[in-house]
Amino acid sequence: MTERKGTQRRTGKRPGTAASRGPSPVRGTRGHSRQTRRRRPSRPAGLAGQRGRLTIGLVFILFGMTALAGRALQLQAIEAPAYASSAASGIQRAYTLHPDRGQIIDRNGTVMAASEPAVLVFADPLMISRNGVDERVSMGPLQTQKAAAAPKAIAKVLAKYLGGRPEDYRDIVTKRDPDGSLARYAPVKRHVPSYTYDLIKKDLAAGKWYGINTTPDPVRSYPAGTVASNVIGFVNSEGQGAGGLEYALDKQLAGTEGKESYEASTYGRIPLGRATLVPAVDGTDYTLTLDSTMQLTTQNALAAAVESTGATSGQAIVMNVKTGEVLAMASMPTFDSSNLSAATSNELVNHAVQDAYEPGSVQKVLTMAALADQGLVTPDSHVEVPPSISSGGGTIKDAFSHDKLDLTARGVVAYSSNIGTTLLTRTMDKAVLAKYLKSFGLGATTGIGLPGEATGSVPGPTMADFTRDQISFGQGLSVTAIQQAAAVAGIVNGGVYHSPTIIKSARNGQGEPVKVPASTTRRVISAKASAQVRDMMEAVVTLAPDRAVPGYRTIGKTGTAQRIDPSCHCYRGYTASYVGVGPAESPSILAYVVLNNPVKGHEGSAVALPVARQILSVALPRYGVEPSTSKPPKAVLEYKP
Amino acid sequence: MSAEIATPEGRLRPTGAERRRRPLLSAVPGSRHRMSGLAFAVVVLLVLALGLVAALVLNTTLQSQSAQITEKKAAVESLSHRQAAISSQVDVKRSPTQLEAAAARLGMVPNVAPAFIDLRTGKVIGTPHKVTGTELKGLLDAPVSAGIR
Repeated sequence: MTERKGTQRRTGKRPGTAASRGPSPVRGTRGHSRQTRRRRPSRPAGLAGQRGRLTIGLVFILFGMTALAGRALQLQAIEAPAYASSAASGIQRAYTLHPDRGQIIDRNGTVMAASEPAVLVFADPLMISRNGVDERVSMGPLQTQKAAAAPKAIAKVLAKYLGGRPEDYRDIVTKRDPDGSLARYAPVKRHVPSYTYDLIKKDLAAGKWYGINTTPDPVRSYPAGTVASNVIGFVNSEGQGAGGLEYALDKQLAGTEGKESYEASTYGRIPLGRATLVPAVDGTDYTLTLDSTMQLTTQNALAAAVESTGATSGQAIVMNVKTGEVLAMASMPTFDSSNLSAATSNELVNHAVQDAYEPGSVQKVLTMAALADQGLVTPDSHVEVPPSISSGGGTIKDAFSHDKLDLTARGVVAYSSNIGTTLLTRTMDKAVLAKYLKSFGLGATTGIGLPGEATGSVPGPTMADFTRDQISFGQGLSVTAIQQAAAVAGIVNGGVYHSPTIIKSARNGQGEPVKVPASTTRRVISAKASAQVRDMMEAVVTLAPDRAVPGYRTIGKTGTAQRIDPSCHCYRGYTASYVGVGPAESPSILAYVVLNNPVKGHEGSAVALPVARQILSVALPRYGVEPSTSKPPKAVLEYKP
Repeated sequence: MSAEIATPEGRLRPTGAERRRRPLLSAVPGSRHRMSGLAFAVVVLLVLALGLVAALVLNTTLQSQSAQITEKKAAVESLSHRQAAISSQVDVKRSPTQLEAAAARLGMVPNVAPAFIDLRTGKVIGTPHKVTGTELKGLLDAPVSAGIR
């Protein structure tokens, strides 16, 4: 502005410049025009008409231009974002990226559960009928001929890779909707491995056949079949965990979906186009403490016993005494995780953690541990065992009838005398007993991380006297197999209890270690008391020659409990069990076997003990336990009064 | 802080005679070679044409590379599907159920009387003896529900 003013000022000073000359011709023109008007007065109307037309034309042009400019403004400025976004969305392709579900492997890396990329193959019968030619386009004779051959050719390719005969697929590829028109969607097969579909796709492309499509449908495979299926669990038809660890760890196993979007044209992805990629985060991989080979052995041994005894179910646990790691957890009857439709509800239950039952005489190990830790009992304590004793309103008897017996505490355990145990337990305060049971982990879940874990129930410190009598030999309280196995393991492990674990480690989708529920460790009884209990438990094994595991000194305890029938709330049937631990010198492997409602034989020593013995005879060498070099001491079971 | 060195007066200052000889302003000599309008237009068009060709070549290269990437990605995906299919077969073969069956077919039986050799002393721990395969009959004759249905 200032510069222009300056220029004007400067030019104004100089005469003869354009600025000063300017006005004169204008004035002249005006003068001329005035002169013209005066000179030709005869044609003012014509000129006015011309000017009017010109004005009108100009106005029209003005309107037209304004309208065009307005429209341009509308398109370019006001509606532009909408058009731009609709154009952008037209070329935008967005996909959900599916994460891989985490694997579950055993302690040696054997795959227990894994996801394999797979697809649901479906046909588009309408597209097949025109072999990919758009419905709006009329087909030429060659195209019509090819389209007519399409269903047969496609059915042949499908049969080649998906099994069956081509005729089996003819109905699918020519499926019609209820209204008679050709369908647009006809599922062919679920869970087709992606590789198989790649081969199908290649064949279809080679023959230029169209109309077969897919959607992702990953398949969860359980290569080991029924091995540990009650622990691993299963996924439902949507691929979500619905049982076992698959259910308990579903969120972590599933991972997080990702998203990819990019710009594409008919010819594919536009290079340098706008693209976003949020990668999917794969699920967490879990390593279990289970040993699948040991698991199979355990399942075989248990299954044979469940069948031979006619038991309704059974559970067995193999545990590392020194760490609390579960090496095998069997539940019978079992199922195949990949063939869920054939499974019954009894098969789907993990009896080892979901069943609470009265443990019977195995409980005597816990009772003796509490008594020994309190200094109330040693293996050689003398107990005068009468044929029966009264308790509350009833009588306590032993499983075998006898006259008065003079037993050592060791003898009480070896012969599994209910009366002897009760008499010894009566010397202990009830509240102290309740405290011990709680510290052994009874009455609460173990935190192993398996779904549906039962707590069992243990009477509190104010229990009645007859309840104290009952629970001393394993009645009037309920436990789960995993609680009982962990409790016995803690007692024989020098008195140090490790809460049981079944998940060893985990790695998330990025390969970073993830925290898993750790074992909690606590001292439950003294090392001296632990040695005394082991002494008593060895007498159980040395009582009969067929109880020993060849080559090893082992310790154990039998259990035969009457079962409470929930329908009548009375005792009906038995729970036969046995806990075996080896080697006696330095306990490292524990096997606990429970058979529910066996009908051909019901005593723990007769039906459960052989199973535990078989398991231990495989497990001890398997885990590098050296055969025992010493002979078991001669057990003194009775005394001379 | 920086300081400028003071220039000695008079030495750089032109004398009065010099001032008079040089005019206050003079025209800058124009470029001797002025390009003709036609040549300029040709050069501009050439540059434009070259630029367009270069852009076209670049675009085509990118497009073909993109196509290659897509092709390779598809190949990678197909190979990864193949790998998944094969490794799932391996998983099945590695499973204890299959291994046990394969071992049994080879005539192998569970050994319940193992012996350990202490390599430091050469001492044998345990009593090795021949196994017949009947020691753990229950394990071998387990009902089918324990393994594969």
